[in-house]
Amino acid sequence: VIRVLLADDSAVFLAAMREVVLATPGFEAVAEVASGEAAVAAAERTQPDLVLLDVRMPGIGGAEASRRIRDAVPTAVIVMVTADTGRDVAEQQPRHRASALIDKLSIRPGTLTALWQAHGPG
Amino acid sequence: LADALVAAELDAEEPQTLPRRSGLRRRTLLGAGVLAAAYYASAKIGYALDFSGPVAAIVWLPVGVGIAGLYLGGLSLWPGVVIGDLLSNEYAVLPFWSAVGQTCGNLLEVVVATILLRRLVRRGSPLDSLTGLGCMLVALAAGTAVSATIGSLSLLAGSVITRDALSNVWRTWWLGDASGALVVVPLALAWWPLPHLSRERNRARWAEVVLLAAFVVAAAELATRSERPLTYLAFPALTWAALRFGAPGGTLAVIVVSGFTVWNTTHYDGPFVYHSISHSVLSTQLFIAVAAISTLCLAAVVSEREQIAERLGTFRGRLFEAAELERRRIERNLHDGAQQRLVALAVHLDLSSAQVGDEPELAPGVFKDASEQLQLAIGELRELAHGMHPSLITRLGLADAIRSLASRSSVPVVVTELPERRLDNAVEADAYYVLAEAVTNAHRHAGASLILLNVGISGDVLRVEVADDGVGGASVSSGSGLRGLVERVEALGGSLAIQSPVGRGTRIIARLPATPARQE
Repeated sequence: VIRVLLADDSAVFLAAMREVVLATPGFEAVAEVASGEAAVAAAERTQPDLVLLDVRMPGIGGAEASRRIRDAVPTAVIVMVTADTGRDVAEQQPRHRASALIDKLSIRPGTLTALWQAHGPG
Repeated sequence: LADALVAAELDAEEPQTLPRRSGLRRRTLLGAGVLAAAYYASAKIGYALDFSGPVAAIVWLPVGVGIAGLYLGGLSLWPGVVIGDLLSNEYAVLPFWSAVGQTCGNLLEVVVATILLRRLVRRGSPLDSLTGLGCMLVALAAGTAVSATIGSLSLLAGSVITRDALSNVWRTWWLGDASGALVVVPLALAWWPLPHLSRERNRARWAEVVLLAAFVVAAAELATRSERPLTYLAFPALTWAALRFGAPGGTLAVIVVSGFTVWNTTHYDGPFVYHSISHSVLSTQLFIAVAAISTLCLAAVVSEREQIAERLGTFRGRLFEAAELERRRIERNLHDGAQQRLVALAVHLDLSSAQVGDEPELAPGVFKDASEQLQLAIGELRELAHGMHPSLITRLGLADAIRSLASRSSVPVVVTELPERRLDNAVEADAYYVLAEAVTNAHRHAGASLILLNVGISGDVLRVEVADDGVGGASVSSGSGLRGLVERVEALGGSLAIQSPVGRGTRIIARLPATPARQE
């Protein structure tokens, strides 16, 4: 089973991601948090295989959280998710050290599986 | 009297700027000495330009020197006026007690005018606004009336003049002192401290200065030496000086024109020479007074215009800033609110479409969920639109707008106080903005479970207070909307305080000017 950590300050979208993980065979959500700091702490505690991390969150934000999780759990596949499009996203990309950055609209069971196949071990 | 003057002086100045006492005494002594010398010198100039006789001068410059000295250097320099006056008085031709009366009158005139000037013009230079200028004219007119009254009465008491001549002597004395004050006091105020000349490096400006100086001198000479119609030539010169060079240029031009006027009249030249000496004196004095007042008015209007242009520039910058902050606020609210909900709904619907294919009986539930989410998103969009629309607040009034805000909030809101009367639209809109933003922050970022609102008017201050029991730790520097709140409140002349210790909730207190609602 692929263990997934979800981080988003929007409760509504956190619920949507939980729904998607639930509908994806072979994946399970191990933690749900609402800030960058909480995401780092939860990653250290649960050692997830996959992290779905919102870019814009209060506190340290998604990009910094991504860097810290990368150091704490080097094996984790980190995927940044965002509702922003265009310029903001392009500016974020080089700095967050995540495996991928995707549009929130495109989160589906199929997307999760494809991301895991592309970036996961083996 | 000396003690009273020093006390008045201490009262007028900021206590922390007082130097040590011995230094103060030395500076006062030096200042009084300089003032006495200037007073004496200006009196000598006055005598040189005088018609013969013991009657007062056409333009008595020392009064202007005295007022300017005490106004700029402090009332404690008053002995300088007495010494200067004693040195310049012609005791040989006056009975002793008349001369003493004159000196007392001259001291009192300077002191009264200075105190009035300080009391009436509390802020800035009297030359920078029409109000300040008006106050200065009142102060100078009142002060010089004191000297004219005491001086002419002591001449009468000493039998230097007859009772019949009293009113003429009083008028000449008063107008002579008033024109002297009108010429010298503004000149001193405009040139002390020296205006920044180093900034004026460009050649065209200097060429204009030279051209203007030549024009002022030529016009003054022509106007006051030739036949009557040319008298008016003085005014274009004065106007030019005041319009282009403000108070420094205007006051300098006035003293040049006054100098030529007095010189030519006392040398029996120009439009103001009549058979009767008192007629000549009166028309010269009136010409100088009118020229000085018109020029000063023009310079004051120019200065007011420049101040307003500067303020407009600052205001425009703030307006741009506020618009940019507002744009960012709307963008952030859209992003955090309706956008998240709609994206989540899209993901949810997509997921559900696969499930509904397998189990059609799930469809009604899926649609119901989707409809609920859509309605919430619409609600958030409406709220955002309301937040932007001052028209709603204008219609409802601040108190009802707050009630509506409290009832819409997803976190419980307790309103402890509401304003009892309507205020200016802009103030109400800003107060609402602060409340709405603070409430949004409280439930979105602070995770508050209770919000307290307290909005009250005390005197001319509208106090807007929002307190929550959330995580705290908010600060202006940490980005967020707080920076925008501070900017917006300060743009309206208010202030914003934030108390937000980590883990102990946030309290935001805005104080806005409680401008009353405009009567339609």
